[in-house]
Amino acid sequence: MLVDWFRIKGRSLHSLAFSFHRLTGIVLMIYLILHLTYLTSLRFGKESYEYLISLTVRPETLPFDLLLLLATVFHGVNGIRLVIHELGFVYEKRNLILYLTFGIVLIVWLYAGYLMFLLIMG
Amino acid sequence: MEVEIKVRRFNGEKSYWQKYRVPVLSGMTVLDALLYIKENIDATLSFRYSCRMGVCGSCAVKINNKPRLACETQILQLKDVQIEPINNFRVIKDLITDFDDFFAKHRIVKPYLIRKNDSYEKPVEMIQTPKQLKKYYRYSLCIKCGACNSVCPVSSTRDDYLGPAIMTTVYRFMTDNRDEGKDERFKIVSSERGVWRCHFASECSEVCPKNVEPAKAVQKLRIKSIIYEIKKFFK
Amino acid sequence: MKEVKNVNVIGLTITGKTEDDRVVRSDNDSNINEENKMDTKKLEPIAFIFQLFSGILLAVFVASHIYITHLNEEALKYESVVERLSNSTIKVIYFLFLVIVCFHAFNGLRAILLDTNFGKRNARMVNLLCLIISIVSILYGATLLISF
Repeated sequence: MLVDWFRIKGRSLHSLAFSFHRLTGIVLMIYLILHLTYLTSLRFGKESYEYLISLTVRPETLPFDLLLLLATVFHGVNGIRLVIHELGFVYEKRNLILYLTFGIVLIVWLYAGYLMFLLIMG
Repeated sequence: MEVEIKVRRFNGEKSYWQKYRVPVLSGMTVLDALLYIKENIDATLSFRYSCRMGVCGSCAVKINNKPRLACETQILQLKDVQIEPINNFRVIKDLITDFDDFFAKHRIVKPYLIRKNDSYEKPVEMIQTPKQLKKYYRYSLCIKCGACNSVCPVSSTRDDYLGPAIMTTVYRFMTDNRDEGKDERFKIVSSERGVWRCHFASECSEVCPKNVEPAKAVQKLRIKSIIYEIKKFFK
Repeated sequence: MKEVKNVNVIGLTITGKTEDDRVVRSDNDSNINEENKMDTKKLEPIAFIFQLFSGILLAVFVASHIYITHLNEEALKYESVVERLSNSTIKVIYFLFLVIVCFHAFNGLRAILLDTNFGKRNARMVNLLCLIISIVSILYGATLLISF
């Protein structure tokens, strides 16, 4: 059953990281496709591009932007953790590294989100 | 003191919760409580056990959502007790799950020493230093209880995936200096249903009652098979 | 004695009339040889290593990409985007970025699909599909890059 990928009841934080990694991976893949399609507007000239920018870069869409940023940051930082473990390093310290990962994700996300907020809210 | 125990039951058609009240003494395990129920309250309750001391691996059940050995879980250390059969295995009755697939997969990977020249007429001593023993000793402690397979997210969605327990066994024999069956085992392990399906959820290591660290074994086995495949490619 | 149904596990068939008389027929050898014929199996370790290293590179690429596009309010203006894309060094870097990100995304999709029983039954199709999607998206992205 596919829901087992996202089953976290009674499981450790490691399973939460796995579920999140999978979920954010799918979200980012869909975003990549959208992003490539979206950039087609560059070829149609200034008007169509700036129309799309005005649609997507505005205060109302900021929450989605922040969620997307969280997905990106989590997938990246957790991905680096996975690379380290999958290459066979520091397996014994995996709990500590997991907590560190969540900490780094939170800090980076809050900081980058703050910058984004300042930029869009002007 | 009395404790209420909730057991997930299955009679072949429907599955339901049943509650039992069991008097407990200090030192009583969950398995003792199940035996008390079977002897005094409800003889139809079915579960599997054999050694009662954490050696055989028959009594793995899900206690409060976490797979554990019923014989090694102290009942007084839990607040409420909720017992279910472990996930990713077909339930036969109540807490008994079907391990046929699990053992069949185990058989595929040849869990024994493979020797090229094994003569029964003129047996030769197989020498091993303590250092060589230490390399694989931890992985040989696996009791095949199935707890790791029951929490593996990939085992639940792909039924021919070998799973953590079996790959740990493979790693145990791969690192044994007396074994000569690398080629045969790499064929199975580095196929699509082998090491490439692991994504390091590492929940298997968290639930292992014997601290065998299956996640570590699988990562090391994967690195080994990468090196093996690349070497084979250039040969 | 109870009849035992045939238990079928990939690579191993257990048959027998009675419980004591189970014959374990190991037909896994033929299965494995079949798997050997598939070229995808040989590429699996390379795909895995590429997934790791492309992941590390992407962490750097994506971070700088987000940084550049959110540097100031001018960064997302049409003129500045076109100006950036006209620079040939940036073009090459972005092409590399495109290849890596497409590989990483669709190899990830392949891994997710192969984790299921659907992937088990259609392994070849899944591999081919993901290859085609990634090539198409690389080509599509490249047309965007060369049009400036």
